[in-house]
Amino acid sequence: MNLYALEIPDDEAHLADWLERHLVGLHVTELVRQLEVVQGAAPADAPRTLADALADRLPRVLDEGLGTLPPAQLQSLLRQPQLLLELQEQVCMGGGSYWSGVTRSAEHLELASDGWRRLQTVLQTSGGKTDAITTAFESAAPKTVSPVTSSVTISAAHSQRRRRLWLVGLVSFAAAAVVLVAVTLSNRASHQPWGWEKPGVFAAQLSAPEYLNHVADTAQEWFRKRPDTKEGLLERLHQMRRGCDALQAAQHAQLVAADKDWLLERCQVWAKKFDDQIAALEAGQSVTDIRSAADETVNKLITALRERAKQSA
Amino acid sequence: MLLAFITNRCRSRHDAAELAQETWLRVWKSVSTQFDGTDFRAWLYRIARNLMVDHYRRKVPQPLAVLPEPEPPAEPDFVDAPSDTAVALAGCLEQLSGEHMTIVRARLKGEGYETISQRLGIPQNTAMTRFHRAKQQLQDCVSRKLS
Repeated sequence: MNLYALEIPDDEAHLADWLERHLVGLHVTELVRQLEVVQGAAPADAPRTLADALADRLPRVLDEGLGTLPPAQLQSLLRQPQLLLELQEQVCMGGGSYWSGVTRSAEHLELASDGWRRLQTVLQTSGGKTDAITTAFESAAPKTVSPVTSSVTISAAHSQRRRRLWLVGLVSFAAAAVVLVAVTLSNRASHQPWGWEKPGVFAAQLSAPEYLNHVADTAQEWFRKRPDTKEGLLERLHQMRRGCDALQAAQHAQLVAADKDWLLERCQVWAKKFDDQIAALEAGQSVTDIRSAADETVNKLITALRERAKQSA
Repeated sequence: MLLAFITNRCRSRHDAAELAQETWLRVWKSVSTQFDGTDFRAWLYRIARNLMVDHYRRKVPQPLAVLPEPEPPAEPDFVDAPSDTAVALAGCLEQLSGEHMTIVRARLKGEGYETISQRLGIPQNTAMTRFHRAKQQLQDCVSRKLS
């Protein structure tokens, strides 16, 4: 049972991000139902269609996200919740690469990963040639560590133009459900979850200060392994980055709204730093330099969490 | 996004997973013969939508009597009935005080605390506290109703 509608952020500045995560997520229908229950029938002058609500701003939303909307138009989406479903469809059909960068929940990634594994099995047992697909996605995977996709290259293993178009369509489409699955499969050999990826880490029944310190302690596990190869450090960074996704998706019921909003906002900043470090490592920067940068990021986030714990005491 | 698109229009997570897989399989099998090389995404989502329509039409029970059948809808309602959570929430909202209800409705319309506090003539912190109290009350109430 999740009351998604009531998780609306206290800070209006985060409203666009929050709605975007729902638009690319699995629960926007439930969010719409709950908003409708709370708000009752729409007033007679409420916009009936997305075109009415957003006028000429829809193309920019599709390209650059909801942050481009003024507050009044953002609010119109909440006042007519059905428009969110229409907007999700528009984003699916015509959204730009911006939407690939919106964080998906750990649940979503897991579902996509499972789906991909089953699809591969079905394709292989039906005699389908999956080697080219796997090659294409694995070549894309290191560059698509998170929903944020940079330029993706495809190794065109097939000579047939249509098959190549399919691969181009899939990868350039940057469907998180497909591309992230490749990342997950290629990086998650059979590692034991650690840090924020561990099951139940965000379900600890603690007071707010204890909880924030607990999150900090868990992040400390980064230092348990000191990879000295590019592959080892990439894997470690991917795991840390997935931990950020898990943190973003968690309820943090232990925290008051202000602390929760702070935590989610900071997590986005930390996640971006890890993304940049991964990109730099892939671009050829030294393992030592990147590991030092990641160490600094982790130390800073631990310090920030502990400071916040003191403030919330 | 395909998974999100399908999941939000299916009645069950299991249906969504099956339909997503079936969509990709259909794409794989027919891309060389049916994709014209233009808008891949539009083609992909048409396949997904058509599969969902077929899937839920097959689930409509056939009439037993020999009577003229009614025209099937152009597209079945993928997600029609309110969820258990939404139904429970509706019941719990009635238990809120008038002011709490006003604040909850205003917040869920995207109004900020500054606007709400000015309208109600209360300090901003008070508006925030009351919203969070109402939220906790609703969560507890919905949780009880669903358990």
